[in-house]
Amino acid sequence: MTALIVPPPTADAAATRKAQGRYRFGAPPWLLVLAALAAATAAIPLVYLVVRTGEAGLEELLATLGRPRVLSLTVNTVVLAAAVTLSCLVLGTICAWILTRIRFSFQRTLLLASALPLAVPSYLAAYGWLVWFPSLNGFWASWFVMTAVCAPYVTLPVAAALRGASADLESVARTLGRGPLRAFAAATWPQIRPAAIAGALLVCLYTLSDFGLVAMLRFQTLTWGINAAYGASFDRNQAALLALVLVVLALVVVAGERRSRRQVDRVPGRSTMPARAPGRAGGVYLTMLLVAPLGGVIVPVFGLLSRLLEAETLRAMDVPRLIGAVGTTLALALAAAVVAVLVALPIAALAARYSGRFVVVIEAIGFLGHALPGIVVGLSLVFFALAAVPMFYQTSVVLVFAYVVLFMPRAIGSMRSGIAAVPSSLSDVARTLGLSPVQTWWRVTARLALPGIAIGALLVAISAMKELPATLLLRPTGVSTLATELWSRTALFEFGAAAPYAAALVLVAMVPAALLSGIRGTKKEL
Amino acid sequence: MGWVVIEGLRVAYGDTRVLDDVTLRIPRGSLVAVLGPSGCGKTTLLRAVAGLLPVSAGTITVGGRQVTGPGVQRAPEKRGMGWVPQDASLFPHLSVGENIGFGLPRTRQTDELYCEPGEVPRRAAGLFGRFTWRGRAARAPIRENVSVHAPPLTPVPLTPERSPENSRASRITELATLVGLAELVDRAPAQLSGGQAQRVSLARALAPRPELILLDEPFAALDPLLRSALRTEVAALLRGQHNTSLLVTHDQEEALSLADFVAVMRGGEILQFATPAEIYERPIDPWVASFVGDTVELGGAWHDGIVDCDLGRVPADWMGAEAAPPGGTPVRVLLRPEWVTLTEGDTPAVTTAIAYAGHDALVSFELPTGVVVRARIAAPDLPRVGASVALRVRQHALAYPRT
Amino acid sequence: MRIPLSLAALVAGVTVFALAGCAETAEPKQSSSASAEAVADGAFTLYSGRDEALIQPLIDKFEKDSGISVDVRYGKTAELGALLLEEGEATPAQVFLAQDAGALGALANAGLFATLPKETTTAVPAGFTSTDDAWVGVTGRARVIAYDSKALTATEVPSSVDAFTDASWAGKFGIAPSNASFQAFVTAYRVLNGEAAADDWVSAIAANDPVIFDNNRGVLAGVNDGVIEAGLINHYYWFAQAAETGEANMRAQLYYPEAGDAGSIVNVTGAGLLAGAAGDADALEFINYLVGKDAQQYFVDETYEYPLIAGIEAPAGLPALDSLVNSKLDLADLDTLADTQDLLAKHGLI
Repeated sequence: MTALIVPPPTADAAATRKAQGRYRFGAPPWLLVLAALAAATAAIPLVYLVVRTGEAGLEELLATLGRPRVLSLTVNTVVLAAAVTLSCLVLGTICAWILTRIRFSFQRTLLLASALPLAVPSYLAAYGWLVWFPSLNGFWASWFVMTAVCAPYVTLPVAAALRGASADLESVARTLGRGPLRAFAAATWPQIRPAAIAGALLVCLYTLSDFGLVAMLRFQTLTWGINAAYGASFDRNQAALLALVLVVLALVVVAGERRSRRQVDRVPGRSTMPARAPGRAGGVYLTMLLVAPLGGVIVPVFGLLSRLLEAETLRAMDVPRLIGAVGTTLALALAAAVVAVLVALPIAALAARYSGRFVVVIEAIGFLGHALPGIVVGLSLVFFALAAVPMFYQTSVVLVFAYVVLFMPRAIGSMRSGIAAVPSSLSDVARTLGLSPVQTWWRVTARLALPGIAIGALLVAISAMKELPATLLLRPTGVSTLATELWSRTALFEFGAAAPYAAALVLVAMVPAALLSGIRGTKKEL
Repeated sequence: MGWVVIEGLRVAYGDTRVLDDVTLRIPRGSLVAVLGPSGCGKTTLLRAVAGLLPVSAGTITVGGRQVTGPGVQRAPEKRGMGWVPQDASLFPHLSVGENIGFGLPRTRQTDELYCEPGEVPRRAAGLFGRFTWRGRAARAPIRENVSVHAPPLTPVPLTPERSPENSRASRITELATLVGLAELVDRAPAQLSGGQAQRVSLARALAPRPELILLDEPFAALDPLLRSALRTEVAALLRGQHNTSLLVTHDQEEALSLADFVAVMRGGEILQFATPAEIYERPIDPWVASFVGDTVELGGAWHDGIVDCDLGRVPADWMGAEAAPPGGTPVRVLLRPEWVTLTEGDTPAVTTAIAYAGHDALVSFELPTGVVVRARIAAPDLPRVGASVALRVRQHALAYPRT
Repeated sequence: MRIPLSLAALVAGVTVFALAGCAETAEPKQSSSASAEAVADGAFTLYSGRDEALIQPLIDKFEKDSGISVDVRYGKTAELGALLLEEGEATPAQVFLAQDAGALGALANAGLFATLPKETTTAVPAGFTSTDDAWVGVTGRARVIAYDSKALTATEVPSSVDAFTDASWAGKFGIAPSNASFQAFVTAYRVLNGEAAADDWVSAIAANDPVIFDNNRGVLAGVNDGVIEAGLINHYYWFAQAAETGEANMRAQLYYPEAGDAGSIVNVTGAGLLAGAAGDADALEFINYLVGKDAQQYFVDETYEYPLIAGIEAPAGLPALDSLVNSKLDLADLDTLADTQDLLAKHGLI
C-alpha cells in the first residue's frame, strides 16, 4: 500500500450540503396573522359561493353539473384559457427577448408599444374588431384578440427578468456546442421561467374570468353561462354553482404554477448579453413586436373612430361630466392601488421568504378571486357589505374593496418576486448592524423591492380603471367612472357620445401602462 | 474565561443535528478561525452566534452578557456583533459611504455641527422651534439640579468625547481611510471590484464598534492573488483595532496564517481547538492532520517512544486518547513532508518524482519496501530523479491508534 | 414565540366563518335608513334597468313637476334584479324600473314587491301588466323580425317564425336564447300552440344551426352587418339604432309578423314598488307618473314604444296593440318561465 499524501477530504460534503445556513427562524406570528387576514378578504367571494351553493342543495347541484351544456361551456373555457395562456407565453417571451437583446434606435417607443394593450379593456378591443369584421366570432377570434390584449402580462416581467439574467451561462452553453435556441432553453430560460410562469398565471385567470370579450365574439364559456343564469333565470344558486366550477379550475391552475415555479438561485455571473443590431431580420422582429399592439390597440381604436365618423348624433360633449368621470376613475384607481398593495403585502412577503403548507394555502386563496367574473365578486361583496358593514354599502369604500379582491393577485405576483429578489444576506447584514426587523424591512427590503411593488400597484390601478360589472353593482348611486359612462352610451348605440369616453379611458389607462414599461431596477446609478 | 464563551451549542433541524455540543472560548482581542470542510456546520455556527438562526440548546455569552441561552435568544440587532458575509452584500441603493455608515446611529446633531455649551442646533429644536414646546425647552439654558422632565433634546455641552471627530461623517471617513478606500466614498457599489467591495463590507461591520466581528469565508470569492494580500491586511487591521473576531473558512492556509487560535470542525463537532502551531504540529487525530496539511502516512509498530517503520526506527509521540499501547502494537505513523530530510546514511530511497514549486519541491521517494513517501526539500538541495538518497526524520513522528 | 400552524389556521378559519355567520344573523335587523316606512320625505331611490340617456330627461321632468328628488342607479335589468334579490330587505331602493317582465316576475316571486293600489294597476289593460298587482307595465315592445334589406326584399321575409325551421335558413338567422324577451316569446308559443308544438319548434330551431347572440342588440348588429339575414328582436332596438346612425343608413329593416302568431307578442317594460317602501308616497307618485299621460307620450315620442294606457296613440307604423295576443298570457308567470327554460336547456340552447 503506497503512502499517499491526500488532499483535504470532503467526504462529508454531500451529506450536509443543505445544512449550509438555510435554517432560519420561522415566519413571525404577526406576519402570519396579517397574511391570513389578507387572504380572508380575498376569500369573501368564496364564502358567498359556498353559501349560495349550499342553498341550492345536492340535487340541483348534480342536475346542473350534469347538463351537457355545462360540460360544453366548461370545455370551451378550459380550451380557450389553455390556448391563450400558451400563445401569450410564447409571444410574450419572444417579444421580451427581442426587446432586450436586439438594439433598435427607437427602443423606448417599442417598449411603450408593447405595454399599450394593457390600457384597452377587453370588451373594447372585441368591439373594435367587430367594426372591421362583423362576422368575426368563435374560438379563433376570441383566442386572437385575447392574446393580443393579454400579451403584456408576460412581456413586461420577462423583459425585466432578462435584463437581470446572467448571460454567462448562455455563452457557456454555446461554447459547449448548443445552437442559439437550445442554449437559450438550457441556460437562460430557467432564470426567467418564474417571471414568465407568473405572468402566464395572470393571463390564464383573466381569460377564465372575462365576459365582455367572449360575449361579443359569441364564444360561449362558463362566464356566459353565469351571466345567463343571472339574467334569464335569476337563479343565483345556479350561477354560484357555475362560478364554483371556475374556482376549481383556478385552483388547478394556481397549484400548477406553484409547482413549476421552483426558485432558481441567483446565478452569480455578472455580465448581461449586449444588445445587437437587428440586421436582416429586423423586419421580422418588428412584426413580432407589433402583433400585440396592433391587435390589441390600433385596430380596435381605429374601429371605434370609424364608428364615430358614421354617427349622426355627434352630440356636444358634456365636458364637466367627462372631467368628473376622469377624476372619479383616477381617484378610485389610486385608492384601489394603495389598498391592494397594503393588503397584498403580507401575503407577498410571506410567500417570498417562507414556505410551508400554510403559506401555500394563503397564497392560493389570494389568487382565486381573480378567476371570478366581476358580477360574482360584486354580488358577493353586496352580501358581505350588507352583512358586516352596512354603513359602507354603496359607498366608495366597498367599491375600492371590490377592486382589491378582484385585482389583488396582480399585485401579489410581482411583489412576491420583487421581495424574493432581495438577497436575504442583505437583511441579515442589516439586522446585525442594529436595525430592528421593521426597520430592516423598511430601509432595505421594501426599498429594494420597490420596483416590484410599484409594478403591482400600477397593474391594479390599470385594471381598476377598466373594470365594469362590479363597478356597476357597487358604485355609490350617482357616481360613475369612465367605464360605466362608456357602457351606458354604447348600450344605446350612441357611439358619437361614447367615443370621448372610450378615448379618455384608453388615454388615462395609458399613463400607468407607460410607467410600467419604464420601471427599471433600483441600482444606484451615479 | 473568554470574552466570547460558547457552551454546549446544539442546532438541530428536525432529526438532523447540524451542530452537536459545540464548545468554544474566544479570548478578548484575538482572532479565532473555525476551519472545516464544506457542510461541517461552521457557517451554521457563525449564524447561530449572530442570532440569525434558532438554537436548540446551549449558551452563548459575549463579554459577560448571555445572548443565547435557555429562555434567552437576543435579536441580532441587540447583540452588538459585526457580520461580514461571503459575498460583500453591499446595499445596492446606497453609496459606499452610506453603506459604511449604515449601522451608525443617526444623531440628532447634524454632522458637521460644533455646538457651544448651551447652543442648540436647529434640527434638534424641530421645524417650528420658535413655537413648539420642544423647541422652547431645547432653547432653555441648562440649569444644574433642576428636575426638569427633560425633553429628549436637552443640549449637552461639548466634551472631548463628543468632539466632531466622533461624529458620523468623520467616522465614515476614518473607516474608509482605514480600509484604503477613502476616495471611493461616493461611488456606487456596482462600480467596485470584488476586493474593494469586501473591504467596504468590513468597514461597514467595524463602524459601530462591535464587540465581536463574525466573518463568513470573506475571502472565498476573491481570486488567489488578491486573497492572500487582502487577508493579511484584514488580519492586521482587526488586530490593530483590538477587535475580537471569529472567522470561518475552509482554507487551511488562511486559518493557520491569520488566526491566533484555530478550531477544527467536522460534522457539527469541534475536533481540536488550539494555536495554529499546535494544530499543525500536534493534530489530535489523523483526519485533522490530513485536513490542515500534507501528511506522510506509514504503518509501524510502537515500541515505547520509538516506532518501527519503513523509514527506520523513528522517535515518535503517542497521540491517542488512551495510554500508550504495549510494545509491538501496530500503529499509524504520520509525518509532515518537511520533517523528512536528506542525509548521509543507510536508508536508501530512490527519487521518483519532483513537484517543483519554486521555493521548494515535493519530492517523491520510493523506499526499498516499495512504499512511496514525499518529502519537502528546499530547492538548492534537490536530488535528481532516479538518484539514490538516504532519508531521515528530523522531528518526532506522530503515532495514532490503528482503528 | 412561534404560533403553531394550527392556531394560525384556526384564526383564519374563524375570521372567514364569522363573516359567513354575520350574514345569517344580520338580516333580520337590517333596515337601511333610506327605506323608511310610510314617509313622504320628498325623495326616493330608483333602480333603473333602462338606459340613462333615455330615462334621465323623464326623471328631470318629474322632479321639476313634482318637486320630489330622485336618486337613480342605472344598470342592466338582469344585474339590478340580481342585486335586489341579494340585497333583500336591506335595499336602499324604493322603485325598480325594469326592461323586461321576467325580472319583475322573479322579484315578485321572491316577495320583494309591495302590492300596488288598484288605481295604478288598472290603468294598464290585462296581459300587459302583472296579474297580482305586484308590478305595473309601463311600455310595450313588439316582437319583430329584423331582416337584411340587401339580402331579402320585404316579400321574401317569412311571415311566421315557423319558417325558420326550414333548412334553407340554416345558419342564416339569429336568436338570443338567454335573453328574457326571447324566453317570453317561447312561453307565448307554448301557450298558444301547445307544449308538443313548442317542443318540436325549439328542437327544429336548435338543429337548424342558429347563430346565438347574447342579447337583442347583438342580433340587430348581426343583421345590420350582414352576418345573418334575419333575427328575432324587439322593435325598440331598431329605432334606437336608427336614431343614432340615421334611418336611411339602416341595412336592417323590420317585419311585423301577423297578429296571432306567437312571434307577434309584445314584451313589456314595467315598474314595481319595493316592499320596504310600501307607504312611501313619493315612490308611488313616480309610478303613477310613469303610467300617466305625460310619461306615456314621452315614450311614444322618444322611443317608439307602445303606450299601455288608453288615450295615447301608438307610434305611427306599428300595428295596433289590441290586435296582439297578450290577453291570454301572464308574461311574468315564473313557473311557466321555468318550464320554458327547461325546454330551451333540453335542446341545448341555454
